[in-house]
Amino acid sequence: MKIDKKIIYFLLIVFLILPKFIPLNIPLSISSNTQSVYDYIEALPEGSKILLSLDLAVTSRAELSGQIFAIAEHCVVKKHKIYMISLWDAGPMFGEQVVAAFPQLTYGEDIVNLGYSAGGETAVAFIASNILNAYPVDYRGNKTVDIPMMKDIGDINTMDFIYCFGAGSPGPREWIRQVVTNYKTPFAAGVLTTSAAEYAPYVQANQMIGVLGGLRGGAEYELLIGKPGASVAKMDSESIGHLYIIALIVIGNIGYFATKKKA
Amino acid sequence: MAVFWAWVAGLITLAIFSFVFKENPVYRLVEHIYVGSSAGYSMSVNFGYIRNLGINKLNNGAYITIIPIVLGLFLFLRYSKKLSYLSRWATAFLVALGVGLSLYGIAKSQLITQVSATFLPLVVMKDNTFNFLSSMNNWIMILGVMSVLIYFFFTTNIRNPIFAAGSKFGRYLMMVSFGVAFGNSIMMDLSLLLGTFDTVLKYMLHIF
Repeated sequence: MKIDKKIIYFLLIVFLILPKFIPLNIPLSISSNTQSVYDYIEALPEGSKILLSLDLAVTSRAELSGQIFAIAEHCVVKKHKIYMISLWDAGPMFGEQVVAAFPQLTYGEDIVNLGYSAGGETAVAFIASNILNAYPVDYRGNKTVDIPMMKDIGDINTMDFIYCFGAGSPGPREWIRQVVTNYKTPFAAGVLTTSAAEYAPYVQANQMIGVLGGLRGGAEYELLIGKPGASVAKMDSESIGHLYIIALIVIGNIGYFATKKKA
Repeated sequence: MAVFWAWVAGLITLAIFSFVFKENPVYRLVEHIYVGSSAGYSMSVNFGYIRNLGINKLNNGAYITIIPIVLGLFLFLRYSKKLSYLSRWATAFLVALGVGLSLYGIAKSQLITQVSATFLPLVVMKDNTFNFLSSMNNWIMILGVMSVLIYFFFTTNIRNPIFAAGSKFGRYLMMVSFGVAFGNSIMMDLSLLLGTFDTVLKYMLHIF
């Protein structure tokens, strides 16, 4: 028996929207990776320099934007200095959204969006050797030598922590190869859910403090900072969606074995 | 104005979803708009980068930047039958730079560090007592790495019972990891779908 795929898609949409009307409040556990990243940022002294590398495209917004704003919020609460760069051309747009989300911060003193750097791994090596040389102007066209929070900036070792929001390549692997290997700068990353398991070996080898996986990672971080937001709100739908997919797989397998037996 | 663009985004999302029923001209139009706008945006951002780091620096007296600018222009010469050999110089420079920069990083971070991370204690003691979970974790890690590596020994006599058992165990472990990857992939797809629901239901229709 074949089920029309339009029925499958329609039911999927219904099941994903249902928790919006009937919240289930399914409890969410915090993974050790997310806890490690949170604890590290929490322990940094006030005024630490945090480099956020926004290496994502608009297509990954749904997966990673929750993490971006949660991590940025944590840095703002801890009064850390936020430096945003990007190895993808669409990344700086997210940087501007972060700046707009925290109007209490002074641009150039508390937060800066340095913009896009072309070249992939070559760009990472260039940035690591001298950040000021790599960014003569910021995303808004201001000369970086005139920006107050760029005054003490030299090579990547002037940063206290690097967090990469990576949707592919260039991304966390390039940062590990060029920065963690050579400069030993503390590093963590938020990646697409499908890539999260691939970075487990780097965490296990202590090359990364932790890795947050997609929307779930963002939801966990929102809970840790005490501000559950859009990511947490989507977790009920995520869980129901998974149960629906599992049910489809079970039905499919029952159908397969029943057909096999008949034959 | 924000409302207008929210509706544009929502309608474009619905147009893309119309592909589920049947390929149609509206879907094709939106697909072409997406490809064209992405390419145009990317081109303008990269041109701005070249202007900031190349042309502006050249105008300010950093004459050495003429070398990468010229090499970059050489890349376009591949479309010329007479001068296409010059584009190979630029490509060779790019490849050599990439390989040189990444070779040490790959060898250190993805080989040596990873191998040394598998040198784990088989008996883990915590506060002078045997920690079963951590020890089991380490055993699984070491046996898993070895068995998966054995699976890829194609020049070994597989009839050897140790190699056969190791190879089989490695295969099952890889199947588990592929299942994890598939499950994560499903999770990512659902997350992206929920993001598109935000575009239509939250920003366009203000339902939530």
